[in-house]
Amino acid sequence: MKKADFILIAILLTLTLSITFLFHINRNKENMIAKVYNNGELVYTFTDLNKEEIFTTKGVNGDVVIETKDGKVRIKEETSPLNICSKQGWTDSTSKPLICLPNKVVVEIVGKDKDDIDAIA
Amino acid sequence: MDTKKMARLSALLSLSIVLGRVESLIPTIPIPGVKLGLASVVTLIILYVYGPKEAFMILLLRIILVSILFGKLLSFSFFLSLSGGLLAFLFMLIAKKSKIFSIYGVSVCGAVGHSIGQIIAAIFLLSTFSLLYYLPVMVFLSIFTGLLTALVSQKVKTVIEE
Repeated sequence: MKKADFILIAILLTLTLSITFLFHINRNKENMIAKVYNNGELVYTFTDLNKEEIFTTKGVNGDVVIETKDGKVRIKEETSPLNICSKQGWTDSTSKPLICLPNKVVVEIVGKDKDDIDAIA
Repeated sequence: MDTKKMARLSALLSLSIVLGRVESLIPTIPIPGVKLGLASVVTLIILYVYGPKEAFMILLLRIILVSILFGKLLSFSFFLSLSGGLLAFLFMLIAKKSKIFSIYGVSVCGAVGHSIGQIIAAIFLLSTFSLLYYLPVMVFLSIFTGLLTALVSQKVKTVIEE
């Protein structure tokens, strides 16, 4: 192998790894949406989790206040016996939905382009 | 073209057809028809032993024959192979002509070209730019397939040239 070979491989490695890394960061923050389900029905979709936004829906025991900020989402206020879902705090993961069982309200995060990839695969 | 050369090119062509078929069974990323580029080992050998004209001929024959043999002529994977194969050939030729790379560098260039060519074809065929997301992953993988094909080509090349 010549010196140019090593340089080429080094450049390619750094380039691909750094781009993959950047994609990974951007993907988590920008390609996520949060869906709010009330009694099993989709009532609202937060299209940009980075935007500060508040949505209120009427649950079984009273109003459920949902807030988004900095790529995360939380239940700000709700009325329930144990307040489990407001104590759960912020979530930014697709695998950690916010579930308010007494109020029958669910907030889940999904990837925006998830359907594209599924359609190809 | 003398008989010895013809026989060798035919043997290499059949080898590349088998490789092309085998590698289509290896899944890489969730775009159907995208290949790693192992069959380009033959293109590389011919490029070094005989020259660009022969390499280009065998490459085109391989892509068309694989499509006919496995019932995929003018299908999605045919265009992916064609685009990937041609760009890989172009990249290898330029890298070889520049004379700054050894067979390893030339092979890596070819493998990278193969990935880019396939992604370009897939973007046109599926008309979605979101496929660009896969490009870094594919180029990363192709560095290693490029090195592997160079290693194999190097060994075969010395045997043929003896």
